[in-house]
Amino acid sequence: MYHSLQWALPIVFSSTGGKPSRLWVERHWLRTGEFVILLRVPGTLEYRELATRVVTTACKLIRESEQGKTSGLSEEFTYEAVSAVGEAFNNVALHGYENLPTGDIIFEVSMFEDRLVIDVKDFGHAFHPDNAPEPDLGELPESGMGLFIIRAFVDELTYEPGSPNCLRMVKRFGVRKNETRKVE
Amino acid sequence: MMFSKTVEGDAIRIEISGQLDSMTAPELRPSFEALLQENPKRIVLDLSGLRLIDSSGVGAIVSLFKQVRAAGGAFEVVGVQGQPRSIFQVLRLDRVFNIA
Repeated sequence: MYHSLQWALPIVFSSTGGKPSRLWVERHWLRTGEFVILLRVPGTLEYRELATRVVTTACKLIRESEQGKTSGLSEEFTYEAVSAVGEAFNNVALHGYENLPTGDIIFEVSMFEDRLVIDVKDFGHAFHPDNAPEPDLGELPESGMGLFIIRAFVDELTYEPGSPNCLRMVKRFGVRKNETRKVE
Repeated sequence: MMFSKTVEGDAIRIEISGQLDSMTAPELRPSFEALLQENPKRIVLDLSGLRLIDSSGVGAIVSLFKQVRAAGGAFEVVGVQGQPRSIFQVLRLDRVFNIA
C-alpha cells in the first residue's frame, strides 16, 4: 500500500538546487480514497515553499476526489490550507528553533472522508497558541499575524507540546470557513 | 519574487510578482527604502502577478503604505487575486486598500 512519491522529486530538486541530505517525502494510502503524505525537511525558510507546494498538491488531489467534488471544494480551500501551513512553517523556523541548532519539521498531511488534517511537528521551543496576543487589525500591524491567519483559515486548531511539539490543523470539507469565522 | 518600478507621470507603479513571504520579503527592504527617498506623491502597487503572500509579505507592504501615507502620498493596490486576496480579506486590508 506504499507508493514512493516520485512526483515530488522535481519539486525537491527545484527548491533546493540539489539532492538534500535531510529530506523525505512519502505518500501512503490509508484506504480507498484516503491518504497521508509525509514530508520531513530542515526547519529553515529555504524549505517553506516545498511545504506549501506539497499541501497544494494534497488539496488538488482532494478537490479532484469524489469527496472533494461532492463537497464542492473551491480554490479557496487550497488558498486557506496553504496560507495556514506557510504561517505554521514560519512559526517553527523563526521562533521554534530560535537560539537552538536547527532541527527538522515534519508535516503529516492526511485526507479522510470528511476532512483534511495537517500535523506540523518540530523539536524546538514549545509555545501555547492561547497565549499569543490577537493582533489589532485596526492598527495595521506589521507582524504578529501568523497565528491569527491560521485560526481564521482552519476549523480546528490544537497544540501539544512535547518532543516533538505538534500543531494540528483540521479543515473540514463542506464547511465554508468564511461563513463561520469568529474573528470579525 | 520579482520587483519592478515604473514612473507614470506623478505616480510610481510597483509590480511585485511570484512569492512574497518570510524568505523573500527582506529582499524588498532596500528597494522600498530607495523608493521612499523619492518622496512619491502616488504609489500604485500592482499585485496581479503575485502568486502567494504570507504575514511577512503583508507586513512589508503595510510598512510601505504607512510611510507613504505619513509623508502625504497616496497609495493604491491593484490586481490582488487568488491566495493573496484571501489573505488581504482575512486581515481586512481589502477595506484599507479599497480592493473591489
